[in-house]
Amino acid sequence: MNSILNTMLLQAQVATEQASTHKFEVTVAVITVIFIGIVGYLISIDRKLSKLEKK
Amino acid sequence: MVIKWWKILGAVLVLYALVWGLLTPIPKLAILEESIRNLFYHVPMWFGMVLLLLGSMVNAIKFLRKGDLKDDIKSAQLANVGVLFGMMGIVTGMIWAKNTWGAYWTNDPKLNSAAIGMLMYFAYIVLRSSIEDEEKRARVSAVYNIFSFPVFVVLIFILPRLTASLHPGNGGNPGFNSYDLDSKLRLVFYPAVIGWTLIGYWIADLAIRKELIKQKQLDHE
Repeated sequence: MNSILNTMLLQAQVATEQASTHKFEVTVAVITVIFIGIVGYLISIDRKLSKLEKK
Repeated sequence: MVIKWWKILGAVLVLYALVWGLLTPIPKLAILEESIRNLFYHVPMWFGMVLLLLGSMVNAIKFLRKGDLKDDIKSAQLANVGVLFGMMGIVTGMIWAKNTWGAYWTNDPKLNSAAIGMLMYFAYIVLRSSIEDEEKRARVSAVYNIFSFPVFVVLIFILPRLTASLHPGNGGNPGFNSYDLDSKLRLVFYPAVIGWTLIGYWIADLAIRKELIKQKQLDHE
């Protein structure tokens, strides 16, 4: 009984470790970079329009 | 030259929702599984679209009351961005449907209503491009816009709730709010809706200002 419980516990630990270390954070970083890039582009268009409006 | 605060707020909220939408714990559900995270990406497109089209209608009413062509430009550009969001909503919904319902398109009342609604706004864009005279174009499209919006809202939010539907939150099918017992989903979903709506208004703001500058140049010539 005890050994079955132990194997189950071990399996659960392995499963949680795998879930958190599948290089998930790499994708999160990539999405972040893409979105910041797009926002940066929006900001640059916004500034250019402000300049044109002043003329 | 300073970027308005609400634009930065929109960017921060969307970034938060993009990242936290992937990392937040989710309820374990059959069929949906991890794809429940689409709640943070697909659904805000539709909510954002409705809020953009509402802004479009408000500006159409403003135009009819005061006759200022600036309001017509605002109304048209908000509708354009709204349609863009709607198309994103349709395409992302199709991908989600394929992987959960088994088909890209079903003859579901929610889906067909959304398609009809999008066609109504395509017609708006075609209508605008078919009238040369500025004043006339502004008046005709403002009236069309004011009729379109309430019909669209009835089509996508009311009619699908009156019949059976596969789509969550419609026709006896529970919405995701019923799975969200500890509000973890709401904590990402609401910021996503507000953030994407603000980003939509930002894009529309750029398009509006571009049109106003173009108008000024034409007046000078």
